[in-house]
Amino acid sequence: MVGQVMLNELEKDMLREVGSIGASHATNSLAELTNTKVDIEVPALEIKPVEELLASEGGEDLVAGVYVELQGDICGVIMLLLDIASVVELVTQITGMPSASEELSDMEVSVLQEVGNIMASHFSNALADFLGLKIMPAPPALAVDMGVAILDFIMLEQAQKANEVILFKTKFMFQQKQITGKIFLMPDPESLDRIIALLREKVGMGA
Amino acid sequence: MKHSVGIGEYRVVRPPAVLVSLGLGSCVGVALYDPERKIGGLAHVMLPSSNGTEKITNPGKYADQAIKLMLEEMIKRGASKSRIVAKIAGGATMFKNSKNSIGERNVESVREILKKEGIKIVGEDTGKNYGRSVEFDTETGLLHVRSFKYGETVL
Repeated sequence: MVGQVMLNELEKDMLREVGSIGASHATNSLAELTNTKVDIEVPALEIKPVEELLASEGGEDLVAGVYVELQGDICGVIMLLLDIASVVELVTQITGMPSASEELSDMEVSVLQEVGNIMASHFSNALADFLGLKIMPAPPALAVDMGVAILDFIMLEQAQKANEVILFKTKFMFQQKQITGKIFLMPDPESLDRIIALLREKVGMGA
Repeated sequence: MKHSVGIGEYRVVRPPAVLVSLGLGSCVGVALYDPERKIGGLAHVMLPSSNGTEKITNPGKYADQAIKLMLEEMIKRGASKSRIVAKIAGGATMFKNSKNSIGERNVESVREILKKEGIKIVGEDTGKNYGRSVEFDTETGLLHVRSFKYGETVL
């Protein structure tokens, strides 16, 4: 179904559950990596026209985005978004060395890419296990720029295929540390159909 | 007076109005201007073309539709098509290792449409890998382009 995402309440609940499984695995991996407790908010499922999503999720402030493309049975994008203050804290926490400036060093760039890589892999593995599919994350890429400019990149490709797009959004925060971030999952429209069909089978609704 | 032109929107104004679009990544800001009448428009386009789209809910997001509608409105307000010139900014590819080329395709499409309409591009800051915000001053016809990477440039 192209053009509009039509989902009933049960399907939305199931999708939230899937997103929640993925997001909690992703944040657990971050907690292990940093040896800190990381809390997550209840994952949200947004189904909106791209221009509305960009207006609400974007912004002109400087953020770091790690972009991981998903390939295999499910195609789409996972993105980790952190504001710059959180980036500096996080890199310091992982490397034990305080960041010198807002301009990221090569080492800091690879640390961030690795964080995105680990989180995206755990997210997609959890998704793949739950759905019984093969999902392969591509190598991560990093951009540090205005939030809305980073997000339009991942959303416009989807906007060509459908008027409304679906976004799984989870906010996470470190206990006692000033680190907050968001992890987004955006499946392609065809992959979303596939996920929904699999979920229907799971609950015995048939396709 | 500053007016914001959001994603997928376009707007036509007269001085002293300034039109602003924030955070163009793959999106392209298309500024059209009749310097004699001082009528200016800015579009914040998201996609190269509305071709193949069954139901167009928001024409402003497609390069072809937005430019066509903006030209019509400018002419209705007294601009002459033969005097209108264009300045464009945006259309970046934010992540290096991606096959996603929507930014490039947006810029190509905007250039093609303007050429077809016989409108000359007199200033351009497009492509590369960083986000841009633009301010279009309809008093001067200048397009101010800001980025974290390079600060401000004026087209």
